[in-house]
Amino acid sequence: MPTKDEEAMTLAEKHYQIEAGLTQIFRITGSAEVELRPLEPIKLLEVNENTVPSGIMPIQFGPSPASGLYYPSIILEVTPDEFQRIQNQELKLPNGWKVGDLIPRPSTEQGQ
Amino acid sequence: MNEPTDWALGYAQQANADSRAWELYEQHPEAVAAECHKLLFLQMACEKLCKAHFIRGGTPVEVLQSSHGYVAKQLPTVIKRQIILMRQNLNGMQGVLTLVRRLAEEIDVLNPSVRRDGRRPDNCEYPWEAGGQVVSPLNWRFHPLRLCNVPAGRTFIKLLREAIDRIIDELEH
Repeated sequence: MPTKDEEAMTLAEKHYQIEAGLTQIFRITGSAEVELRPLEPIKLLEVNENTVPSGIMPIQFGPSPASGLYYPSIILEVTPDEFQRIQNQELKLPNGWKVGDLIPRPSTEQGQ
Repeated sequence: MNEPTDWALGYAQQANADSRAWELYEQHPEAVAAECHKLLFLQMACEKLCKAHFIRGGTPVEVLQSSHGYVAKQLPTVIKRQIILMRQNLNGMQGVLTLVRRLAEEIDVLNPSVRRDGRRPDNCEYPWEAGGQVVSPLNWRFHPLRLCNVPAGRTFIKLLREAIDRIIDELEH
């Protein structure tokens, strides 16, 4: 079974692979205490130039061990402009979440 | 006080019923008075599926009960997850997802409350005015139906069914 960090990387790589408009994917992190909980979802902030603006509305998925996804996950998709507003703190993430590390696009994808 | 999970399941079950109605119309086209009726069920199924996922993500149900227009943004994310769960080989799926984004925007405007600043009055429930004339949904040729019939559109319909079944299964267990 992968760690939560490993699964977050795998999920992000697959998203990059099938989404032409995805420019960046970041981890979202809660407090250290919350993130240590085994069932705390993987949280990804996806910057997508093909999506429409609608503010901060995360959606959650359950785990699917049979398909290799062992943890619940939350996806928050934003436009590049919304991402800038998050960076400027004009838009707030809920639950005290912070924008975490960038998960870069895999090198094999960069030429596509 | 009901839990968010109860609400999410309620929305997902309603999405399932709406989607089943769409599927019945697919099997029995003679039962459909007009394209708009068939599309109404597709639009409602997609909207309730998205709302079920929103509720799971922490959006208060009160925010969603009287608001619309979430399909364009969230349906592609829901379908993207379903693709990853069900398809080992992701080759070709970028094209499917590109079509799903176009389709999701068109499905969103089928709701009469989503008008895109008046630029898209066409919807599958009420007449609207265009070029000085009243246009009825009964006589309108809707773009989403054509998109649903191309190969990637048929894949989308299968993924939509799988996504509805999956969320119900997850919420019931």
